[in-house]
Amino acid sequence: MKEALKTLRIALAGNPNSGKTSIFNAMTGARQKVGNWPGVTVEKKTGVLTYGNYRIQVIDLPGTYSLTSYSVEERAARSFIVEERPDVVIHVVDAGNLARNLYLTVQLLELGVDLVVDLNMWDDFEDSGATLDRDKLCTLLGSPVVSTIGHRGEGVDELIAAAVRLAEERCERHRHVPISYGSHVDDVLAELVDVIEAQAGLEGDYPFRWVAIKLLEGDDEIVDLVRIRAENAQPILELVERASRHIYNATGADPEKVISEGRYGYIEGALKVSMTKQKADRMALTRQIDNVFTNRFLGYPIFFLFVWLLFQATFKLGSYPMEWIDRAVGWLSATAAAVLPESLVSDLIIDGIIGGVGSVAVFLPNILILFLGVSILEDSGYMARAAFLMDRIMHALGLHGKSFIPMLMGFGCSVPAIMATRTLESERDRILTILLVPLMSCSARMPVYILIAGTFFAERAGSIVFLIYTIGIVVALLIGRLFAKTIFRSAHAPFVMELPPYRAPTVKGLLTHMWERGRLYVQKMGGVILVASIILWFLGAFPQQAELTTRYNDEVDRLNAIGSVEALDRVDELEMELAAIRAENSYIGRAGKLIEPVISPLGYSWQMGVSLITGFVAKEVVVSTLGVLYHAGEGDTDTTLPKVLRDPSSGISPLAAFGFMVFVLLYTPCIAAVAAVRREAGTRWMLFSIAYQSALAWFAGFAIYRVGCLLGLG
Amino acid sequence: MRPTNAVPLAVLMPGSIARVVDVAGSGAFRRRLMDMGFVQGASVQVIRDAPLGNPVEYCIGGTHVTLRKHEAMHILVDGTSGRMALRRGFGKGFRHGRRLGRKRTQR
Repeated sequence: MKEALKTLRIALAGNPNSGKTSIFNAMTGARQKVGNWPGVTVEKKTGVLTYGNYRIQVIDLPGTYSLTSYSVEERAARSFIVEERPDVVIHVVDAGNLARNLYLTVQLLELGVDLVVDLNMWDDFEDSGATLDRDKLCTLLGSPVVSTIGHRGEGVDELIAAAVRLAEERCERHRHVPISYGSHVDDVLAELVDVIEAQAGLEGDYPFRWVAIKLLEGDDEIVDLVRIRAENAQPILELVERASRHIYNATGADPEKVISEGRYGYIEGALKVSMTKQKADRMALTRQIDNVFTNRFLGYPIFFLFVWLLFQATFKLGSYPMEWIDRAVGWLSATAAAVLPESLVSDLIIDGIIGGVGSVAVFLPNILILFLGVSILEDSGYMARAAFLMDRIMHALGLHGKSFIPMLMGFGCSVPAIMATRTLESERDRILTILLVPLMSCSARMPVYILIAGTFFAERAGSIVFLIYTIGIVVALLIGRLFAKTIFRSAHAPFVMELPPYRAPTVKGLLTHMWERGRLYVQKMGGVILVASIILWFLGAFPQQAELTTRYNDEVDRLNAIGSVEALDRVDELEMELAAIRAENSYIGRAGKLIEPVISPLGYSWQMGVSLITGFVAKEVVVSTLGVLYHAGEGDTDTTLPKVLRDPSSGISPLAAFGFMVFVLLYTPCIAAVAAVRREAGTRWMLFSIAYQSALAWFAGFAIYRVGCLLGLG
Repeated sequence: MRPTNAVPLAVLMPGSIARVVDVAGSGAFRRRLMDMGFVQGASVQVIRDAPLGNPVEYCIGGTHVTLRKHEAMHILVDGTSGRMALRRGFGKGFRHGRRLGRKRTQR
């Protein structure tokens, strides 16, 4: 009989750029789940593997340099370790940069976890000519030390074996030696631990010594914890106060600084006895490459070349598969229409479901290509250089240098652009970027501009469209500064960004990343977009007005039977009339009329109001809705849409038309973008994003129309 | 307790090497710097300015990191080291590292 599998939980901790992701991929293969950490929009990845008679769940903690309560990523990592108590924590360390990486190791040891130290990128370390006495380091850290080459998968089995062994044994040999921070701190710590121990209410999750260290460091979260949980917090906090003063008087620095220096001192000591210096400078090649890539004169041309290539690949190259998908969807609808008898169900299948699936699938090529490109930039290390080059400019918007790529992609399509904000490490920068990306005018808004600008500003259409794009950028700048100073004011983090050594990306790593994003899009957003498309179809098709339709169809049949030229012309007219009446009386049409009082101060007709609502499906739909509602014909008749719109009877002045374009620029882009915002930033930010953009669009439209009227432009 | 010969890291020219004597500031900001290796005694090298003058690339403990100039103002280094040169324009009005940045942009 097969023995039941025992479950183990292993958490992966590590610095950004330490190759943690490649270790995670090598351990779990494709069996991964991507979600978010509770309450924050930091990505949480988990995977499963079986080893011997263990079923091992691997949890990828956010990449961090430290375990403070200052950033959401660090809080998520440490609260998982403290509250969920994984059986083993593997710390993935960049072996080429031990001193800085072990700083996190020391903090993990403070937490009292069962730790395996994984010296990753071991090949780089050996190439540099350095040597390491692993046994000695193992004794000093009180934890097993394993070496791996993550991108080749070497040593990963040994790593898993070491973790399992540690979980099985929990042997005395691996009981950690407490780290010394110098006599001043150590004495105080011992005293503090005693006081904490004496208080009821704090036993359980948190190791006392760690709590003591955090209290001395002034960690808000732990101070609050003590206040809430300890029966009597007063003596503890008083002692912390006194101890801090004592440390300050003795060393001239506050405890947080002294403890940090103590950690570095401990690491320096450990490395002194276990490691010989590297002979080759591992950054030498990187420095040479950077002499070109971040060169004062060459830096920007090279950067813009890469970005141009990325943009072209995503949207130009991506337009071919998009066309195929479009054609496939069209063929599918046509086939379905031919096979299915005409009924409400067939309408639902053809226009609602097939159309909805099509609107999901059509973004997939963009997303896959963009993320292939972004992965190349990230994995090679160039993304950090791009941020280095662009930070000066992006900082003016209250953003991070890395926000540039998502913002630029926003000119193509907001959906992949919003997904690309994942490259930003801090939640604040990510959400601010997500809020601003839709202000970059996406390509789907272009048909609206072409129609309106072409209709009302014939010879100046080009300049007007350019002006619209510029307005988007300027508004993003203003809103960015406004939000940075208000909503996101408290969370300012320094621009301390690592410039990692250049590395050749691996095909496996790139494909994994691309696959992951594609899957995430289809699974998490596809459903939302599909359902929303069906609902919007429903609102557009209902109520049915069957009687009216039958009446028209009878008339059309009669005229068709006559077959004269006049009769056929009349058929065309009737069909347009029917479409317009149905659109007008549908739920969406009624909603459009309902909001008329809201949009009439902006100088828009009710038809424009309806088209703004249907534009929620996708911006191109604004044009087709206007076409239907204004009874526009095709070809070169007197009734083409531009001619109808220009006619005074349409009720649209050039000024209102301009305001309308600005409105289309600024208001919520489309259902897919909204789904992307919800996925990346959560429902609250999604609602905020819809609200602020709608308000912004309305006020901008209002201001343009009213000020224009006052100036006599109306 | 600041040594009188300490100067802000932001005023060092690319190519300079100096020892950190103190990290001013507080809270998340200072902690982040310390987490990246900016602690007393650490050796830091100024690698290069970004083409627009800001941010600046530094090498600390074998890691290359970037800092904006006004952030690097909070890091004080030993001003007596032999291998260092001060930026021009260091003096009045420099306090936020702004003036230098602007000058370079005009180039």
